[in-house]
Amino acid sequence: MRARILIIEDNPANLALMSYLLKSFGHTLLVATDGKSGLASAVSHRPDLILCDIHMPVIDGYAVARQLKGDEKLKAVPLIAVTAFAMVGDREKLLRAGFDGYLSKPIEAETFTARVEMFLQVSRRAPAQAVRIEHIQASVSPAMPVAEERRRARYFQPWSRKRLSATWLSWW
Amino acid sequence: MTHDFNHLLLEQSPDAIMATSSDGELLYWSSAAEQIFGYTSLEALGQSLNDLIVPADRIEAEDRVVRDALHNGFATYEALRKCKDSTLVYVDITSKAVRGSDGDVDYLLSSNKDVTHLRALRDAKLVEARFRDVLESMPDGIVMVNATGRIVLATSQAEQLFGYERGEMHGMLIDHLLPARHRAVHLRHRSRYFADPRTRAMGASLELSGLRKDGGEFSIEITLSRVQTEDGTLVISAIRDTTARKRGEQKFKSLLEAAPDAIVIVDRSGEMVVVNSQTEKLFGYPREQLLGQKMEMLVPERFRDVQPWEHVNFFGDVNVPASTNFELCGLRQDGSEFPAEITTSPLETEDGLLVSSAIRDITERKRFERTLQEKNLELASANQAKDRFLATMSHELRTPLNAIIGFTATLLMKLPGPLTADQDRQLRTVQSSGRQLLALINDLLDLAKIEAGKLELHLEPTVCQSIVTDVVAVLQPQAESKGLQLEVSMPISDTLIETERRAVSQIILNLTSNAIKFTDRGYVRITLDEQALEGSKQICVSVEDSGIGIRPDDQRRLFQAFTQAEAPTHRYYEGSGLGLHLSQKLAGLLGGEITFRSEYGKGSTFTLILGAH
Repeated sequence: MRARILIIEDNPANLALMSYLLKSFGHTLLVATDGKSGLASAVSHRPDLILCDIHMPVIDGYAVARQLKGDEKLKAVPLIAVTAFAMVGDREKLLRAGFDGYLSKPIEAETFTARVEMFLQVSRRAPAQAVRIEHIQASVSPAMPVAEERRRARYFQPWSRKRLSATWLSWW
Repeated sequence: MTHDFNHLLLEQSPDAIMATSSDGELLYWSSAAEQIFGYTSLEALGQSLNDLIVPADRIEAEDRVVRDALHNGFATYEALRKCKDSTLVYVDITSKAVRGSDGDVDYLLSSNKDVTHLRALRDAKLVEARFRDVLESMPDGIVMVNATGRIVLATSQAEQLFGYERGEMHGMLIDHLLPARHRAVHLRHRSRYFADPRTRAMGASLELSGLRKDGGEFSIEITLSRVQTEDGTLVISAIRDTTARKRGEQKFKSLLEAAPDAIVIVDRSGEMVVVNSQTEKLFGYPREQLLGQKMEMLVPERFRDVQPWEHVNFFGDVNVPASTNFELCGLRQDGSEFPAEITTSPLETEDGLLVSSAIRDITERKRFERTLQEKNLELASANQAKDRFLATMSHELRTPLNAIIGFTATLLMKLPGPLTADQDRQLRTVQSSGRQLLALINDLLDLAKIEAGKLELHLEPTVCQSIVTDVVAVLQPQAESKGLQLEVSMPISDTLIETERRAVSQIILNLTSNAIKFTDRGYVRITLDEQALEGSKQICVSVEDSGIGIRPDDQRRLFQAFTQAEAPTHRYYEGSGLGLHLSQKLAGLLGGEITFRSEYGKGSTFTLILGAH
């Protein structure tokens, strides 16, 4: 299940981490460090999935989502927000803006690739428009984290972090 | 022994003997004359009799008598005479004209008998019969005097007032009722009063003292009026003892002086009638320059028609406000101004309605207020800076740390290549330290948010069982890895509570994680309980462990920040030291609390109590 994945992220360290992880698992990477060039890259390369930061200069993640979902040729491409936002209101805001799901920062290296691949799988099974984070939640076994709020993990001993339940999602 | 009886008679006669020329020039002045009228013969001789001892208003009458004497050869009459010291005396006069050989009058001889005292007693009898009953009924002490200032009537109240026996005051000079120091002045006043008698209050505005027979003094107020009788003018003095009132006034005065504020009392016309010494100090005017002046002079021009001020200036018969407090500017004599707080209140007095104003210099207070305002602004901006700092920190601190933790993980996942055992071990230390640092930062930021009141709670109906289940699912592996039993005891039916799921989860997770951390053998038991308490529901989530427990000494500071009870083995337990502190704060935000009991060496139980209402 090799895919072409576009990462739009202005923070070099985060970008490097995500790129490295996805490349290590055999995916092809396209990168952009701001919304504008990200949009241009999406138009010219039509990736299989787009990971997009929210806080970015020039064009932020919300604007990127609106433009991508307004584009007939691109709206089927799963668009996943990668954000530190954790509040309920923000999640809804993300979904309203057109994101198909979100992964929260900080990026958990051990599970990151698996989660991204899960979005790829779901989107291949159903039309991208219908994909909503709630569906993903329902479709994933509880033992397999989907998109958890990492901050909650700080009370765990490190070794238990990998076992975060999907239900943690509903904390926020 | 031969005597010059002529000379003896002239000089020793108790009656004043005098001779004048036909045009009234004094040619002889006996020693008795010197005694009665006070002038020596040196002073008297060569003077006009009229000028010397006849009161101005009697000269005309005197001239008539003298003409009669010249015509008839002699005259006998009673007349008023003025002595050198201005006192008046009644004299009984016998005059005879002495004619020369040419039949013209050469001299006028006269013998003057002082009958002042007799006259007074006579007057006394007269007025006594006529006025006594009426005057006795007056509340004031009444004293009547005749033209010579002799007392012709004193009521028993007056006698009591001055300490005299019944009738003892008759014929006494009224001046003797005054202390010696007042007598000269009084005599002048008395003469003037007889010349222009009008009813008036005497001593109403000046301090007047009465002198008792025993020499004691007391403060008095005197009202004068006159009554005309066939025997001449009599003056009635109503005398009131004002000692008690004066004492009251004295108290009032000391009260005024003791007041910390400047106190100004104005009358209906807005003129200042009373000021205290604080007023003098505050405004820099001596009292005399304030009394009788408009109070406006203490306020800068531009404030003089300011609304509240009008209350002070214009009473308006309708409503004087009970008490008004306002801030204004005070104007000192040197023209400088100061912020003042003025409290005015009406003052009912026997003289009518007055308005009293207490004025306070609030320069200091204003300065404090200003400083405080500035400080508040500073604080607000400091607070904003803190918020900005927190927001920046949460991003700036976490981003690089995430990269550290993330790439440590990729190394540990052996994505770049195999690791030696040492590399693996060291990288795990990097990873766990990184995560601990991240947890610490997150806790600190959370705490800062709570402290700043920035943590918003989203209350929703929540099933407590599901929270506990989640926590157990998360921590089960951790408990298992330490060989601990993680037990759960919950009601079967859903326990509902309106709360924030996230916060409750965080607290239970925290308590349970702690329990596992500090327990090496045995169990950790989570119990969910619902209790009815005084009509309301309470939900308790207890986390009990069979761990090391907490020493009594440590229990006290358990919920403080950065506290981790020392383990007996001095082993370091991983954790930020903020967990319990933060949990307690969160519980407080949810309207609940965390309680605990612990036995050192045997275990602890922490309980989250939430009101369910």
